[in-house]
Amino acid sequence: MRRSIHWDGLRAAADSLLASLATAPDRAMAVSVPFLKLCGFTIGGWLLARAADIAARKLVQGDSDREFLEAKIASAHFYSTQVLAQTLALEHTVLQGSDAVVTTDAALI
Amino acid sequence: VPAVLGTAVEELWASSNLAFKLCPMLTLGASEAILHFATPEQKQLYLPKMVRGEWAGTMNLTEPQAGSDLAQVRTRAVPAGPNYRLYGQKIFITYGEHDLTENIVHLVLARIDGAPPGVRGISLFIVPKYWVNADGTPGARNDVNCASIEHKLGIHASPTCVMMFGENEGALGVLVGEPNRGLEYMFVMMNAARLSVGLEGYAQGERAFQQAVEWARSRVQGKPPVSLAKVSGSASMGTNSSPGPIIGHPDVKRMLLGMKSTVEACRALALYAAFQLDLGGAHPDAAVRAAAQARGGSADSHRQGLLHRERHRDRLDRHTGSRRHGIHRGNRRRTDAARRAHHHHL
Repeated sequence: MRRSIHWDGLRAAADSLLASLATAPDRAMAVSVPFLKLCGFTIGGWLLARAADIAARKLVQGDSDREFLEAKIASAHFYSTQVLAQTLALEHTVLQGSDAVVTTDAALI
Repeated sequence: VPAVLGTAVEELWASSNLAFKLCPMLTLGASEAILHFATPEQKQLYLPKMVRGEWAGTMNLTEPQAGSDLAQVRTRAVPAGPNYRLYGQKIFITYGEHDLTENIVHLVLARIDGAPPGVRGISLFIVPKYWVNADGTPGARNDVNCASIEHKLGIHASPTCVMMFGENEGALGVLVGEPNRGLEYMFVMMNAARLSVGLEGYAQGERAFQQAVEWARSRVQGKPPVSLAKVSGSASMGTNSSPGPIIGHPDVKRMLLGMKSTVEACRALALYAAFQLDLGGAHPDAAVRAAAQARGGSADSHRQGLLHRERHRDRLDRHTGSRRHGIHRGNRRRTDAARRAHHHHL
């Protein structure tokens, strides 16, 4: 459930970026790095969730490397609440951030 | 070695000594280009010693006027019998000169006299520091020299050089593959280096994290607002009234967890990408190979994308498809503690 917020955000951002690439590549370039960060956080969250899932199953099966497996779950838990939340802000930046770059005259910087 | 194993091992090198690690990294890139595009004789002459680490390799692309825009490359290659004489200056050459190995195999982009302008007229050459005779024995010192060491912000133990080719009789070079296809070949090296550079980000993050967590466990300061018993495992520090190690402070814990989970996420991403490379390149089932390549596990897709980067379609691909960006994120996500020392040019 919670996962879908991040995936949906990534998809909305990708759709927006693809749409601007077709007509206004400068607008896409203006938010390309936030988009890459959004990809990174989302994919990072996905992979840590996979790791935690595998760790949880191994713990149930009685795997002896408990400390390692519990640390994997702790990392995913932390990441999901303290790091992954940044995807929401980045999605907003990708969707809304182009104007502020493209319309600003370089002489004003 | 499978990429997934190589990536894991390279991380250890990059955490331990990033400056040193750049030497095998460049050698690997140069080896890849020779492996893919050189003649069997050239491979036999250079690869065994490079793979064993007896010889190092470099990538000579950048010139003062030609960095990201390699169409501006001006280094000249003049036919000289079966070989060429090279004349020109290259900058930002990682491990361009050193005495750690018996020989240095420079891979150099240059323009053969009469070649078409732009990227379609650039060829790739092997220019060894010491000429290599046909029987593999070392020959004369070649006319390639380090003019100066670049001043960088960090990784000073890695010699980043200004290289002069052909200040005297001309640097003797061997053409790799066909003329005017040098840029295409060079991207094989570039792409190998991309993965290696990306993992440096989280490798440095891991190093910073290890130092931070050790300090946070040993530095006793302040009275954490909760019981320390869970943290330290030491009964003597478990009371609220006595100072404890700073790892017991919630915000310190938060920072450490942030470093740890971020490094783990970056590592998972890099290993995932490396695994797709392995599947895409070597899996016996063509369908599995194709699926992995679609997920970015293809050296070819990157080379093509870069060669035609002026095209709209490829700009789009660069933004949507590839593991390259995922890996490069490692660098963007380095913790501030690790950022200080890491700035270099390939």
